[in-house]
Amino acid sequence: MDWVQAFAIAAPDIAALRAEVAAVQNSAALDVRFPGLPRRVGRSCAPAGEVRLQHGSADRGRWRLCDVAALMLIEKCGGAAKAQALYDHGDRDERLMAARALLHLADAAMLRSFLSMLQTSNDQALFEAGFLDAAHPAALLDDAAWNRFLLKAAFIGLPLERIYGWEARANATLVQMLLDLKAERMAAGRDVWAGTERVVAAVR
Amino acid sequence: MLTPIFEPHTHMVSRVTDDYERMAAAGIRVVLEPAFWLGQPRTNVGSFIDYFDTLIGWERYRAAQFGIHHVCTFALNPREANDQRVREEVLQLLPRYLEKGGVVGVGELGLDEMTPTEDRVFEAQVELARQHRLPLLVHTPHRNKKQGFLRCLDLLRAANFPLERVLLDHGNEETIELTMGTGVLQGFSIYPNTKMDPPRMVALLKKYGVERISINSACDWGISDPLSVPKTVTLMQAAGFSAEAIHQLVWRNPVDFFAQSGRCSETEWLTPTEKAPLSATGTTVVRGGGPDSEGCC
Repeated sequence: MDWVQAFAIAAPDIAALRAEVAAVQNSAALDVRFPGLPRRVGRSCAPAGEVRLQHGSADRGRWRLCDVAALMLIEKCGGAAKAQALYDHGDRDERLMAARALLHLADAAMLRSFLSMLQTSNDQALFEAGFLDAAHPAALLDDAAWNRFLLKAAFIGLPLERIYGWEARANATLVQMLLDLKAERMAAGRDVWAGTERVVAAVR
Repeated sequence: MLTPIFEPHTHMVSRVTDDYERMAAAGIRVVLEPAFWLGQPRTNVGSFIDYFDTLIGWERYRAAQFGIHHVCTFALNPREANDQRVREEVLQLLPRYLEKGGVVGVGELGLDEMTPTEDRVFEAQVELARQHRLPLLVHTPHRNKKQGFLRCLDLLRAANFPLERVLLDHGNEETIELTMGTGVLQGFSIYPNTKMDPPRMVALLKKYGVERISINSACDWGISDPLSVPKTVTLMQAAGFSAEAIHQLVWRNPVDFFAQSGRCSETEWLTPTEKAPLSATGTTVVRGGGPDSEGCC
C-alpha cells in the first residue's frame, strides 16, 4: 500500500516522511527512533477524506503525519506484534501512533483484544483513537462489546456523529442501557448524552 | 500574581492528588520527576520498565489534570547500580526511554556508597547523556557528602562533560564552596530532617546569591513537603529578596537548564496543560479527576 498516496500527504511533507522510513531498518532501531517521530515529522493532520484500512474505512483527517509515519515504519519493521509492544511501553503520543497502526496491522482477533483493553483506558484520547472515526468497531465487535463501547462513549459525552455504523448497530439492549444512564443522570441533575434519543429512535 | 515555579526534583508517584492541587495553587507550573529507587530494591528489570512507563504515562496525565506539566529524567539510580540483578539490563533499556518526549535529562545518576561499580555506571550514563544530547541530574551521597561532591566533579571532568549541562543536587552549606564557580547548576533540596530547610536556604542565598542555584523539594515517600519551594519563596520575600531574584531562582535557572534538552520550551511550560474534560469522568476516564467523578471505590 502506498500510504503517502492513501493519506494524500502534501508534497512538502513527503520527503521527510520517506526519509524517516528509510532511516530505520530493524525492530531494535525502531524502539529508539519511534518516540521522536512527532518531534521530527510533526503532528499536523492529513487532509480530510476516507482511507481504506484492513477492517474498513476511516477518517484520515484524524490521522497525524507522525501516525502515518508510524504505520509505515511498523509495517516495515515488525507488524502488529511490534505495534502492540510499542503501545505497551509508550507515552501518550507513542500510544496514539501505535494504536492507529494496529487498526490496520492487527488481524480481527488481535484488534478485538486490543479494543477490549482500550475500553478500560483512562485516557480519552486513546479511547477515541481506537474506537471513533472508523468502521472497524461496527464490523468486528459483537453486540455485548459494541454496547459497552457505545455506553462508554455516551458516558464521557463523545459525539454520536464520530461513531461509524451506529444506526445499523442500534439494538434494544443498548437502548435500555442508554435510558438507564439517562435516568441516572437526570436524578443527579446532570446533562444527558445528546445522542440518546437518536439511538432510541433508530430502534423504534 | 504568583511567581511561576519550576520544581526540578519531585517523586510524584508517591504523592496524592491533594498535593498536586496545592502545588498548582502555590504557582508550581512544572514538576520534574527524576527516576530513582522506590524505597526498597527491585528484583528484575520488568519493575523498572513498568516504573518508567508510569512516569511517561499515567503520572504525566495525572499532573495535567491540575494544569501542571510533568517532565522527567531517566537513569539507573546509584543505589541500585550496585545490584547485579538489574544493573546491566536497565542500562541497556535507557537509550529507548531517553528518546521519549518530555524526557529532559539523564538522572538521577550519581553516587551513593561511592563504590567502583557506581563509578562505572556513572561514567556509562554520562556517555548516554552525550549520545542523546541531554543534561545530567546528579544525585550526591547522603553520607560523606563533601567527598561525594568531589568525586562527582572528578568523574564529570574526566569524561570531559560540559559542567554547565550538569545539575549537581542535594547540596548544603558544606558543599557550596566546592561547586561555586564550577559552572554546574547547584541544586539544594528543602527536605525536612535530612537536607536543607527554608531558613537555612534563605541564609545561604543571602550569602551566595541566586546565580547557578536551584531549589527543590525532592518530595517522595518519606517525610517531605511538596510545598517547600513556595514556602522558601515566601521566606525570601519576607527577607527582602527582589521579585527578579526569586524569579531567577525558581523559574529562570531551572527552565534555562532543562531547555538545553531541546525537548521543551519556556513558552510551552507557561501554557497550562490541556486537561481532560472533567465532566466526562466515571469508572474509566479521569478517575477521581472532578466533581462528577465516581472515584475508584
